[in-house]
Amino acid sequence: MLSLLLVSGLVWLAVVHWQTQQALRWWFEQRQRWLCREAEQVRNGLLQETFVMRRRLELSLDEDGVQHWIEQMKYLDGHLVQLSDNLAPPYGEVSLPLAIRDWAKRFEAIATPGAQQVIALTLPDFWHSEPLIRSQILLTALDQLLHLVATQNNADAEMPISIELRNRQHWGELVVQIHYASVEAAQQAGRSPELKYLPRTFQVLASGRCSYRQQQQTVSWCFRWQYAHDKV
Amino acid sequence: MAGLKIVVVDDHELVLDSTVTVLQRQYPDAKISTAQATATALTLIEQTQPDLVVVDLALPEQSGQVSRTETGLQLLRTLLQRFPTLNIVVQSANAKSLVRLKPSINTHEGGFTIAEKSLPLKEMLTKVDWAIQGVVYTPREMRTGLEIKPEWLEVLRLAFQEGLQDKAIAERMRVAERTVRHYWTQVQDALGVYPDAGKNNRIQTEIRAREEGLID
Repeated sequence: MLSLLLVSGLVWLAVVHWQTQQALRWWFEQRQRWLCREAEQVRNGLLQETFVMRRRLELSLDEDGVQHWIEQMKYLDGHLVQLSDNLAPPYGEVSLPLAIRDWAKRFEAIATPGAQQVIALTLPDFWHSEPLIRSQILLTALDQLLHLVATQNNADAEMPISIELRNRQHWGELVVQIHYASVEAAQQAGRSPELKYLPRTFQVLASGRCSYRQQQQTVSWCFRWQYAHDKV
Repeated sequence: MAGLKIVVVDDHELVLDSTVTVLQRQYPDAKISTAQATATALTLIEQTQPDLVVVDLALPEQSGQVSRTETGLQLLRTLLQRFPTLNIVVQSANAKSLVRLKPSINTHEGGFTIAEKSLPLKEMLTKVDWAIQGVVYTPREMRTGLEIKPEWLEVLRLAFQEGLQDKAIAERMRVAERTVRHYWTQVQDALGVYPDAGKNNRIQTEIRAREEGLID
């Protein structure tokens, strides 16, 4: 009787876990779709408006008088492009290496002011097709990880970061190495409760594995996921 | 440029007006036609056989429908297939999605340049001029991991190691001279060599090819 109850309890827990996982994935997918729609609104709406305004200024006869406004429009335009790219990162559905490269460029530009973020990338030229949702999960995980790390970091400390995308036989592997200024800083980073949520979130959303390892001043994060046939 | 025929395709009327004004000012004798949806654009291009098409990516199939990047990409795919020597400028706020057409762009024999909508007027006109000249210009991301085809290497070798001109290269490779010119534009795009006042394009190509170790 007791063993029957135990088995029923375990089955019930597995079902609840599976249902929660499905619900969270659904939530993430809906959120991503909404972000893509917002990005499209920026690209097809605001950026078209600024294009028209800038061309009118550029075509105006008194070019010297409007130069200041042209510069302002250029600044606004740049921010809108960055906003739309942050909402829906480009290349996600085409190439994961390209998407990571593009994300890194934006991250370096907007990283915590004063912090010297240097990201060394080792990305293959060719990568098999990933489902869009998996690329979005990986980019979100990467973005969250490095924003948390950048926030923790002393603004004046140099903190080189390297990202490597590896193609294993049946799975993909994304390794992020963060080189802290001291062993203490690396140890302290590992104690952050927010960073501890990351492996669990990745496991639930991507059905993958995320591990964390510290060696002296270097902290390595490794994201692993199975290719194609497994469902995301 | 007398007799130049241009088709501009964009779903936003004001964008269309601005672009036409800019082009008409630059090319006063050009005949410029416009379309706001892919179906009308295709008919217009077939009818007018233009020298240049300036096309947006977010387009509706029919007037009044929702604009989608996928629809614009499909139009471009069709243009690259049906009009292999057509000069094209993609003017878009989301040009990064063009990476999906990379293989078709690589084999296109006409000019092909990309002008992000955030580009200043002068730079946009440069991209238009390049396309009319038959130049291929793609963003750096689309050239990641320098991909050089064997026939491009052969052109480089025959030109810079044997000193042959296009006609002789074409004879040696048993292809049309036009094909050799197409190989030049492709290899120059891969190497990031574009027309620059006061500089010789072929010499710049040789310098870059040597830097990349493509020729000894």
